Amino acid sequence: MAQKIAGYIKLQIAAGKANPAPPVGPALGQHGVNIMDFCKQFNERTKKDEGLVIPVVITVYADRSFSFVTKTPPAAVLIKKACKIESGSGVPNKTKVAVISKADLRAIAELKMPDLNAASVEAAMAMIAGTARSMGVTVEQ
Amino acid sequence: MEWIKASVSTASKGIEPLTGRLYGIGITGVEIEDTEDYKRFLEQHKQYWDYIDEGLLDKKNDVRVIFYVSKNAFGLETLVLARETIAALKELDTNGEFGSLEISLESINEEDWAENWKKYFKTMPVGEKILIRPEWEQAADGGGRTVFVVNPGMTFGTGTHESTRMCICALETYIKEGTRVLDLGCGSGILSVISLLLGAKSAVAVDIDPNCEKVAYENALRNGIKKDDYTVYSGNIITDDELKSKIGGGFDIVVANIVADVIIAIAPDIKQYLKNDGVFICSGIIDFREAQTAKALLDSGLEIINIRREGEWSAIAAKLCQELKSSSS
Repeated sequence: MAQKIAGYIKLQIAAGKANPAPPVGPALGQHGVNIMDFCKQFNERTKKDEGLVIPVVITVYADRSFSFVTKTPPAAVLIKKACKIESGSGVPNKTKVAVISKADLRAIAELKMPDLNAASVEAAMAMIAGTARSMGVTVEQ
Repeated sequence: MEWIKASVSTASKGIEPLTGRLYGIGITGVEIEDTEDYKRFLEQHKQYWDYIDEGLLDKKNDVRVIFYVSKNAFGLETLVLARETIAALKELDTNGEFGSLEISLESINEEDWAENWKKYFKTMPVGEKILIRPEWEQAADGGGRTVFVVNPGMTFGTGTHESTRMCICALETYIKEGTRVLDLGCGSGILSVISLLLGAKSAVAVDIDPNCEKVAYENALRNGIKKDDYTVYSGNIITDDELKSKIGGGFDIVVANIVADVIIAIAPDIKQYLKNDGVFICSGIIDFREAQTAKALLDSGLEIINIRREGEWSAIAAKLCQELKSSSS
């Protein structure tokens, strides 16, 4: 079906907890989208991932209807989960907070492959490794 | 309440490290603008559109991560932490891969987005008997339909959602003069108020969100419903036994437009609320949970009499099993 696209919005919000407060409200409100309708559907679909931040891409059509797809959690969230840490390092070049194994790095890269603009798993691993280093997580050599 | 919108200029490679840091200081949600990503998306899905809004492609090739903090001491403290962590990230980015990481701030009013979409919400017929009219639209001839006037506000239930529309159609089928209705997860009160407009004698509505009590009573008042005929409670219908006893039983119709998990959880209680020949209408069930929800109803002594489907959503109508009726009579 051919439709005119009026908006393309990318959000990262807590699974099962979308509500009209920012960032959802301002992002969708400007497109005339029924915000509660979006929240209800998003919360229903992501309930199983509660506790994780879920990226979501919302396409708004010219008739104010919309569709959305959810993506894999951000790399930083998956790295923290794999390393069992609460947060990254404030000064990652000085203070290291954890070490991530090559296997975990590959597992995250493979999980995120569909959402990364990477040509290969190795390229995806390099991107995930960059995120890990910026958090003070050392990558196992 | 006012908010501060903080936009951080970055590059595609900077999105993950930047958002990771923002989550580390307690920010729970962000918006991401990435023109390249949008173009990629269009390219991959081009068979689906004939044309797109030109303004969307006019944007420069920039990438921004946007987050919001409330304009109060707590929000400003978060903003200070954000500045610190972004500065640390900038220091780390010796190759300049994460973009400029400059932050620009803007004040935002909470009311803006709550009101914006309303202007697109128009009078619409639902089912065979109902016309839903937003309060801010001029009264028009209902053409023989019963007019339900609504001000949706921040509570679910405007009638535009498939799950609500299917419930209204079911209510049209089962409501008769003198019917008593229980509306579980009432939201704006749309289903219970429409029940009363369709001829129900009285209605009780419940929602876990305390805001709904006020909104539902306002919607009832807007539609000329007397308070004697309509009672709204707020509370947890699954765990609150005192609430359950306040609600009582003997309802001709119980309607629950919630979500599959809640419907499954309340299924065992439905027979306590229903009259022997009563009907349970449940909706808000996303398609892939329909079978599981139907099973929970069967396991709770109900038999399914009708399933409606619209879009990704299902609504189920059920009544008490014959055996259960005879054993309780």
